[in-house]
Amino acid sequence: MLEIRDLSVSIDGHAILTGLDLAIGPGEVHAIMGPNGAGKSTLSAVLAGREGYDVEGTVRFAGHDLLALEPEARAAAGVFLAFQYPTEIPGVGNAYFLRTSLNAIREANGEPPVDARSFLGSLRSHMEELEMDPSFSSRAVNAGFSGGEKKRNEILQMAMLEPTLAILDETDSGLDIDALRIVAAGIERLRSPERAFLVITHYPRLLELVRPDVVHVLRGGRIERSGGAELAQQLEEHGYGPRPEPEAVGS
Amino acid sequence: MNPTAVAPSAPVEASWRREVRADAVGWLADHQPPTTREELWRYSDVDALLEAMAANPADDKADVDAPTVARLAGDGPADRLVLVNGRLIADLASRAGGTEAVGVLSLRPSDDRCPTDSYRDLRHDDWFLATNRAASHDLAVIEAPAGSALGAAHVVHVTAPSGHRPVTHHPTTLIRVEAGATVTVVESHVGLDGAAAANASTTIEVDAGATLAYHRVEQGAAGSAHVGHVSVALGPDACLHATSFTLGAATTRVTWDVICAGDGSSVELDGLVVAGSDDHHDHLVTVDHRGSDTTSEQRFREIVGARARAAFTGRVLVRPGTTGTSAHQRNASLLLSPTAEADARPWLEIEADDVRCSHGATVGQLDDEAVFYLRSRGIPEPHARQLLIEGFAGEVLEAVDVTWLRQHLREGLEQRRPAIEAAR
Repeated sequence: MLEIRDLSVSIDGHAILTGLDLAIGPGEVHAIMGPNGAGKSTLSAVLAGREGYDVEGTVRFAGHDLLALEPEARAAAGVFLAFQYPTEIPGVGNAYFLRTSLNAIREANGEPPVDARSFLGSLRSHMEELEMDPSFSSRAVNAGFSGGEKKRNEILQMAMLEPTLAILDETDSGLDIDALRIVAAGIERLRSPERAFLVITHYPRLLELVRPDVVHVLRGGRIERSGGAELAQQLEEHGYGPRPEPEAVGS
Repeated sequence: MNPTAVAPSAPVEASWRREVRADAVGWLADHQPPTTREELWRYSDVDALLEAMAANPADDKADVDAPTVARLAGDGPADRLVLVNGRLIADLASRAGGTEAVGVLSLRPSDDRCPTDSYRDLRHDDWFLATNRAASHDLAVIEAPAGSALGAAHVVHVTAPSGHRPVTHHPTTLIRVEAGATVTVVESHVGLDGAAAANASTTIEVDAGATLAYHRVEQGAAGSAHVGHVSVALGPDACLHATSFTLGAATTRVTWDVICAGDGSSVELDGLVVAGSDDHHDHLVTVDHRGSDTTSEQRFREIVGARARAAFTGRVLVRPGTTGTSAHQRNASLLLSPTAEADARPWLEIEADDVRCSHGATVGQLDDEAVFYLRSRGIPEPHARQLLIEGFAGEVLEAVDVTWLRQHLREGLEQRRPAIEAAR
């Protein structure tokens, strides 16, 4: 479903990712862990189409050359990024925004607009599941939301937009225990054989609630090692370990 | 223009109108129009305004029908009064507000009573205002009797050029809200296509304990000029919730002159200015705190695109001997092109000690992060920008509690989008 090959990313001449390879199949949940500054958020931003990066390599997603697509076309193709720091959009109501978004994606895929009744019904039931107050549907997008409310709002959008690839960038950071449980349950509900997840996190806590199929360690600009769900716990106990010195190898 | 050349609109005028006219004509004989060397006119395109006003006086031959009025000014439940080129068009009036008690009337020149004393007691210091006094025709009048709780009144001033001939006229509205009354007034300044200038004046008096919601909308035709002057006097514990929209015309100068005369009076003024193409809009707001325990909030926003300019000057005067004044002012400008310009100028003259005062001004562009956020949700870039512009304006539109007007303003903003987004 997603195949990243030899992805190198730099910003202002500063290399962040250096030849990253990663493949995710349908229905799989992959977690990416790694020390601060390893480029985890850069990877998610590049996949979603944020500008300002020098990008080399290839990313294939569901038959698309993902890197050639505008951000809105990536969303229409089924990519969703849950932002680490969701942006506040003053003056634009949450429900209005979501319906605009959903209809834009449907239009891009040749589907008719969603009718208001089923949209509102679906919105309400997802909000109930995420234990969000109904007032959040009319409030401006993320404006004045607490950190936890913003993260729940990201999961709400994911639930409404039903992407085929969901990238969660540190969605668990800044959440208290209850909010983490609610958010994790929201992710679990969306797991399906057709949908893949790329979960970026610092903490194994989330990965106990959302069990990954594969855990990757991103360090030194590429995937340093990969393993099963148990790798997250090992990292928690032993840390990432000394960083290997590539120059030293073979000398 | 030569104001002495303007003939009175009817053979018999009320004596007070004759006095006002004569007074204004006399003042104009001794004074020159302002120039940008004067501080209060520094950001105005005075020459363009004067050029536009030098056109012929508008005549009364304009052909305007009800659907046109509804299209230009919006339509909804309100007692409506329509004036074209300063003349009341009785056929276009309607009472859909269902509030017979609203004293909507138009004083023909022969009426003998002035509903707002401050219209007569003009301190002549403004050339455009004096010109309005000298040359106006019918006066639109809204009167809410003491203690009444009424619906909405809608005054529509239409500027109608005849053929390709540029015209100028002097729309005038008087609003009197008597003690304890509550009323909503919408005042629309709209125009048919063509070169034209409107030099408008609105005089408002809100008596003790009364509340007025007043929405002023300028939506003149592209290429037209608009000068507006709103003078407000608030009595004790009187309350004004006002909005000011400038969505049309190429050159405008809108002046709000609010006097919190009575103790405990308060004003909230929310403004939105949309400038595109080569528009040049200048807004000057003065809140004069003369009573004690008075409060004012000024919140203005400008959306400026293409090669347009928008300026905002917010004055707050706090008089000596007053106590408990609270005066706050915020201005935010959204620049949509590198050639757009916004100027914001807070101007505080505080002559009392017991004052809570604040002001702030921001000038910014559309947030790239917000554009990316919306695009990452599948919303194409032009639509994302539109949403953000709507959102910026939406915070002002929320201050309008008249549903049909809010919808009309949204549509008006949408119609201006090509002009503000061009050549960014």
